[in-house]
Formats: sequence, C-alpha cells, structure tokens
Amino acid sequence: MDNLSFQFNPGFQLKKSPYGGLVFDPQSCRTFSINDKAYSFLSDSCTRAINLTSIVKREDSRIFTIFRDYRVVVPIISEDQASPVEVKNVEPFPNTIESIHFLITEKCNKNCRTCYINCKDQEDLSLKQIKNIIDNFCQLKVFQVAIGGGEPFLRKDILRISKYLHKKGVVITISTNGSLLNKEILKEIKIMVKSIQLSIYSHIESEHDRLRYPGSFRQTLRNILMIQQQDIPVGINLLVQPHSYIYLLDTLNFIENLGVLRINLIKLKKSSGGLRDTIFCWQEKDYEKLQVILEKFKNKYPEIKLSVDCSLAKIMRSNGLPFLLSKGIVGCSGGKSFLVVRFNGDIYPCCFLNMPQHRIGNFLNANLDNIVQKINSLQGNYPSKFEDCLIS
Amino acid sequence: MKIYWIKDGYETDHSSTSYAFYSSTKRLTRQERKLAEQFSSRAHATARKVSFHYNGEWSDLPGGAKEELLDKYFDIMVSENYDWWTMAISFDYDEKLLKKLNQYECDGPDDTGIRIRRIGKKVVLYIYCRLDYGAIPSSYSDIECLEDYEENEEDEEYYEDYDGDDPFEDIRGILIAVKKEILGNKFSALQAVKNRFEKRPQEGKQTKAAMALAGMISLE
Repeated sequence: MDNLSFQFNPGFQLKKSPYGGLVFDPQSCRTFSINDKAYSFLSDSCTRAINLTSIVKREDSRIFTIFRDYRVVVPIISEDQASPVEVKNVEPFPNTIESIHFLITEKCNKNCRTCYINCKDQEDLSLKQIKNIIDNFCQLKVFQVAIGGGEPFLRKDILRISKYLHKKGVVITISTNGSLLNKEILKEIKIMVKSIQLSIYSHIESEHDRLRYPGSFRQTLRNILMIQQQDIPVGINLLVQPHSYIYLLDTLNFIENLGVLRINLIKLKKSSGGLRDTIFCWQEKDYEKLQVILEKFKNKYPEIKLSVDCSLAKIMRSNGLPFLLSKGIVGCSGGKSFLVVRFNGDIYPCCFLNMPQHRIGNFLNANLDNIVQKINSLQGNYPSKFEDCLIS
Repeated sequence: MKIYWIKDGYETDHSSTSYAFYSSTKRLTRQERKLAEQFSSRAHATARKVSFHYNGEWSDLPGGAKEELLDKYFDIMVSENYDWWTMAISFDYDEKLLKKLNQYECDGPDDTGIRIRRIGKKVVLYIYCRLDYGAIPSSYSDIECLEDYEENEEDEEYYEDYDGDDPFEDIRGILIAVKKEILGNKFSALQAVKNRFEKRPQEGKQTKAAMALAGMISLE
C-alpha cells in the first residue's frame, strides 16, 4: 500500500471556501468540508501523484485514509500515469454554496391551495439567458441545482436546460407537480437527473386532493410508477399539520410502500392559494407528537431518508441553543450552503427571504465578485440578518 | 489536515446536531453510564464520555437532559449545530465562584457570548460561539490531561475511535485546561474570551489555554 501513488478522484469536485474547501462526490452526493491544509493537499493531488510516504504527520495520514476510503483520492500505478483533473489552483470566488434552487419559471398550470409561489404571468428568461446564469453557477463551482418553479416542465426547453447543466457536471434534481410528465420526457431526462421530487400530502385521496387539486392523488401515484420504471429515484414532499397527525404514520407507511427512499416533511407556509391566510397554530405538544411519530417511523424504516424543512427543524430543536432559539432562527442555512435563483435571475438566500432587502443580486448582470462578497458577508451575520424571515 | 464534516446525499435543508459530554474528574460507574444512556437508544456511554448525534432534523435531546448530564455525570459539554458551537463547563456550586464567574458574562455579535447558570448542585459556564476551525489547536487532545488518568480497558475503548482529527476532542482538552485554571483561581481564559467577544485588545500575560480558547473564536 505504501508504494502506491494516489491522485484526486477525477470524478469528484473540489472547490475553495473561505474556511478551507469543499469536496463533492456526484455519485453519492456526499460533501466533505475540509480545512485549508486538506484543501491544499487535495488541490495538489489534482496535478501530481501523491505517495503515502510523503505524508509525514500521523494525523494527516489518518485523514488520508478517510479520503482513500471514500475514494476522494484514488490509486494510480505510477507517478507518470497521474492524469491531472481540471481543478484550478487559483480560485477567484471562494464560497460555501453547494446547491441552488433554480426557479426556471414561476408560472404554473395548477393552482394548489398550499403553494407558496405567487403564479406570475411575467416573461421567463430565454434559453440563452438561462445558459448564461448556469455559466455563473459553474464559475461559483456549485455542485447541485434543484430545478423548480412554478411548474418547470411548462418550459419547453427544460430538457435543453438540463442537458446544459449535465454537460457542465452539475447534479440535477427536479421538483414538479408531475402533470406534464410522460415516458418520452422521462426517457430523455433519466441520464441527467439524480431524482425527481413529487408531493403527497396524505394517503387519503380526498384529503390530498383537497390540499392540491382534483385528480392530483391518482396522477401522483401514476407518476411515481412511471418515474421508477425509468430507474429515476423519487423523493416525496409531505405536508404536515397538527390536525393530520392522526393519520401521519399511515401516510408515511403508505409512501414507504411506494418504494420511495427519501421523504421531506414540510410545514404549511403562507401561500397564494386558498390557504393563503390560514394560520395553523403549532403548539409545543404538536412538535412533541410529531417527534414521536417520526422516531417510530425511523425505527421501523431506518433506510428511509427523512428530513424536515427549516420551519420545522428550528422549532423542534426546542432544547437546542437557547440564544439562537430565542430568535427562532435555528434551522436556516439559506445563503450559507444554498441560494435561490428566481425566474428573472434574481438571487435570494431562500424562497422565503425574498423581500427587496434580501436580494443578493442578479445573475444576468452579474458582477460575481460583488455577489460572492455579499454571500460571504451574510454568513457572518446570522441570525440577525434574517429575523424578518416569513416563516419564522 | 482536518475534515470538519461529511454530509450524505441531496438535501435542500441539512444539518445535524452533535453533543459530546465528558467527565474530566471521575470515571462513571456502570450504573451512571446506564443512566447517561437513557436519553437516546443509540447512545453508548463509556467511563469518560457519552455522545449524541442527530442526523434527522426532527429530534434532539429531550428537555432537561443536557442539564441533568452536566449536573450528575459530566463536567464538560461540547455541542455543534449549524456551525454554532456551545461549550459548557460545570463546577460544584460555590457562592464565591458564582460571583466571580458572573463578572465574565458578556455578549458577542449575533447572540454569541458567555453565560453563567446555576443548575442543581452545579454552576455552569456556557460559551456560545462560532469557530475559526483552522485555529483550533490539536495539542490539547492528549488523554493525559484527564485527572486521575491511568490506562485501563474502558479508556482504551473510549479512545480507540478517536482519530486525532476531531474538533470536539480538541475543544474538550482546552476546556479541561480552562477548568483547572479557574479552580486555581485563574480567570485569564474567561477574560480573554470576554475581550474577544467585546472586540477589545488582549492585555497582560495570557495562559496557553486562554490563547487557545480565545484564538479559536470567530467573530465573522
């Protein structure tokens, strides 16, 4: 083993951050946050072979072992065969953004009562403009893009957008209501996307359709099957409300039975549909109940990846950091590891931090220096910057 | 080299919460270890440590657990959540010590700072902060900094998982050193941290622990 030489895995991505660096494995979507020294080491190993004997410190050799185990570095037979990968040693825009939620249109063909986007009739960007924006993502070395909307499949050029992202090495997921999906589209898109995200709000058809739109339940079930037949993983967004606890476990079991491996629980937010002004009061006992249900489900199906959106995370950690919780902000990583880019190229830390004071800039007339400077300055200002979050 | 964290898979909102509780003054009995494990079915307490890690975003230690662990079993806590860190040191309750510690309560930017609380029979010093990861010294992570240390099977079991690149372990070592100083009536570490939070220059001679603790706090 000691005689082997290693190099940075050409299939992985490496970027500089203000705190060191980030490594991304596009296959598993695993991300590593590393310090400056580890970044320099990996950056170095992009252009030349590294031999284990050159690592002197014991601690460093332990980290090297982790890199090797996770295939961040891979063996090569001799130093002559090191094939440098394309990683710039000088990176002009160190940042911590890993993923971007790209609302390629905010138009929608449905009118879900629970949607938080105001369906706009404004003109979308052209494909050329979208490509320019994607070029900016690449300059920032963003690892993943979650395409959403509105209904993203309303854009006739969604395949071309996906192709462009894919060509640039960006991992793609798409959130959709599924109404425009068909086998032909899925066949074309399957090699480009990591997963497609749909919504199920209840295993009871009438309840789901009440919150979404008539016929949505059956359509979603058909879509799940159709997507799975193309070997594309499906993720599910599940709306939770205090009054739905009675059947929440049944709904979770129902989703598991559909072969879904990723469920994201979301809380009802201010929306543009019929529930826009409805306020559901969540009390402490509601979160306790939710916790019990989720623990029960997780124990039964440990392989299912469960996550909750920030509006739930911050409150459910009610025994967390007292100072932060007094501000109600624990749970927000908007602007820190992800950004939202709206239909017109405007950049925000999150969908719910979309007021003028939150606008970071616009990728169409981007001065990336300024944008990155703003993004990085946001990170030092948590939590006070976002006290006016719509969902806090 | 250091790896701060490894995160699996695509998540639009992601984080984890980690707690590590350490006992620097005594070994826990089997009974105490069982009691310390009661807060999570996945916890495994050793004679010196118990840790809790929550990947799921819906769960956390139950209410009062941290206080109970610091009151009854452990004297050091290091916790991380969304890159926000909490460090805690508990002392046996002493009115004079409480008064002295109270002098160092302060606020840094964005809800960071030092807080002193009385919990049960203990006085607990909390430091809420963000960290400059590159500035965390690893020289404090040696097992020898534990009081009454003598190698035995349980300690070996505890330390075999430690790969020498764990900021929790590095911070633990610093906090133990700070605790020893405070019990020796030296408060330079707290003064240095207070100066740091209040953006005042460091004055006078500082101990190694004071420099380490204040130096790793990030105000950015």
